[in-house]
Amino acid sequence: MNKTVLLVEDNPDDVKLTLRAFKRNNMLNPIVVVRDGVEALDFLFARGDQAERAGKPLPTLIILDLKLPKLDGLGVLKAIRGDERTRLIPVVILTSSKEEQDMINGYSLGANSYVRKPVDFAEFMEAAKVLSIYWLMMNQPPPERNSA
Amino acid sequence: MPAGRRERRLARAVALVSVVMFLAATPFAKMPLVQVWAFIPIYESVVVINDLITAVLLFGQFSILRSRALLVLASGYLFTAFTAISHALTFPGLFSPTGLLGAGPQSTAWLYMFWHGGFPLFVLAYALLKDDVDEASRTSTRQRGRAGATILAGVAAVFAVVCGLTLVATTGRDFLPAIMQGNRYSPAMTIVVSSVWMMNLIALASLWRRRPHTVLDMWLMVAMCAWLFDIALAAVLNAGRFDLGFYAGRIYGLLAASFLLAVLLIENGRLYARLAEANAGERHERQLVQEKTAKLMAVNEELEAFSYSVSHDLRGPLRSMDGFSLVLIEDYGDKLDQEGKDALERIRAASQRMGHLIDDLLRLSQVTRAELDIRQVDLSVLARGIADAIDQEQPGRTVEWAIEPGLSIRADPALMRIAMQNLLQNAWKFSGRANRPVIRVGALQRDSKTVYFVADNGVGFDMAHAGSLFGAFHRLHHVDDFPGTGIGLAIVQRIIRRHGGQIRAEAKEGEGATFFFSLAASKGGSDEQDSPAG
Repeated sequence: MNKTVLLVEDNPDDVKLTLRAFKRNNMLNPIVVVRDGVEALDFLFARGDQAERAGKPLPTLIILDLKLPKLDGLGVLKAIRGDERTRLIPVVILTSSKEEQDMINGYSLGANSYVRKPVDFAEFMEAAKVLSIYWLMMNQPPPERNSA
Repeated sequence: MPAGRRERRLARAVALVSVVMFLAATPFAKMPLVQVWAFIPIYESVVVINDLITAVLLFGQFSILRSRALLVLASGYLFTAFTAISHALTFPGLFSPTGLLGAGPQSTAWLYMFWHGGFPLFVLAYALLKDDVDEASRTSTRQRGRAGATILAGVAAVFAVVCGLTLVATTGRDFLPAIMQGNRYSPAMTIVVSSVWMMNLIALASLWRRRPHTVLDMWLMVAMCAWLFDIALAAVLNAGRFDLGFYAGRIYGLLAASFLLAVLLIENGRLYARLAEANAGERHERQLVQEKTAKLMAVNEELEAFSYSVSHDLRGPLRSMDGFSLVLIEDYGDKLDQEGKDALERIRAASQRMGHLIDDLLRLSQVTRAELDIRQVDLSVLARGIADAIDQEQPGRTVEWAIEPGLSIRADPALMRIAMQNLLQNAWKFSGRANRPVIRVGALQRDSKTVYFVADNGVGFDMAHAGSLFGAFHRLHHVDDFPGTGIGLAIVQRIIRRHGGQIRAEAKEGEGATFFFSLAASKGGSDEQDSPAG
């Protein structure tokens, strides 16, 4: 059973650095990258270009940026929490913003964690390490309920 | 209202015209004219209505100003209205050959005398009482409830008096000397009418003497002049009813009844206009405030959007610079010499510094935007907590904290914590090289205002460079000596200003610095709450 991580991030630099951070921390889980909110929901709900994904397992962890093209992170989070299939998947918000309002909104909509991207890449590596250890190794994911 | 110059001139002009008309009419006073019977009821109705309205307006003023003088004057006008009614009813040949109410040939003439002799008594009383107008208007509001009862009593008294006088003039007519022979005057008339005329003159004179004259006083005097001419023409200079003097006198009577009414109405209109103006002004002001508020809110929203974008977008490129520099160092370090690696480290350091600057700017704007939540705050406890935290974080250094206990202020606790954190951390930072670092927190009284201070015995600074001490990113020391972005004091100043207070610094190089701040919000606090102990 491969625990997939869904990374929702539009900044290609951030994608590259995040993937590097995970790799350097020996995190071997497959990571799927989507570049905007609509793509994220297409992937999760097997819609549009991702229709062929129907029936395939859902990600174990969703790492979500807030500022995204088309549908923003909070909108994605709302849709995830509003759907029976995805409402229990752990969602970690990983964003530049430390605006209080963003944190409050994120947690209100059911985010499991809120992490701010540090400028210092060494710090970011540390954050990625802690994240992957906690959410992919220590944390017991909710039982799968929609396995057909 | 006191009389203005224009009003005084107008009143004088009216009085003068009255005099001229009077002089012009005098030689012809005895000239008989056509007997227009309808003139009498029409004339008396107008007088009654005018006087009644005047009385109502004056009673209204009384109920607001609570001056006895106004009550008396209002009663006077009511008296003339009532007496005019009974005068009309008893007029011989008008409603019945001898007049109604059991009137005899003398009744109407006597009622005229009561009417014209009674009113000046009221005016005289008004003149004597009018000094208490100002006083009354000052202490008015207290017995507002009793105004209605007082007015009612006044009306009843006037009514009773007029009924009594009517009774004397009609039923008791035999006790009064005859002043009429048919429609012409008897010799006794001269004495009676002269005394009535004199009473009017005395009333006028006493009004004249009681200065300063209000608008009301002035037009009352004009009215009294008209009354004098009325009586002179209609009862002294003429020969009897329906001659020129009789008619002209009546017209003066009408003018007398109209002057004060007109003035009261104009005054009312003016007051109403002023009220409407004030209302319109207030509405306009409210609109301005609303517009300003809307603009401010729009600016605030823009600022929020701006700082959101700063927080989010400006940091992205910095992450890339720092991250990929590290990638280079880590993956290609073997291909770089020491200088190349050093360059990359400098890029990383600069990126991180800029990241901190952005964070500081955001903090500054957050301090400006945050809504104030003013409460009672124990500044001593707050400072002690921050001091303990600093000691714990930096166990390598020993600092003596001298914090005055019981400093109670009214402030936003969260913002005040940020301000004190910055001040105490600064004090801690800049006293690092002192032999025995001491940081003091306390309060003192200056010009009956409480001023709080944070003092250290550290490096201090040259006051010559203190001008922009509180400006954002302004530093008085090199980063190598004392690290920091230079945002701390800018944040402190904004917080203090948002509390309506002021902050300033006093320092001497090598001897330390003291920051003094006041809080507008704390002024009330120390009064209601416990005063600082010790």
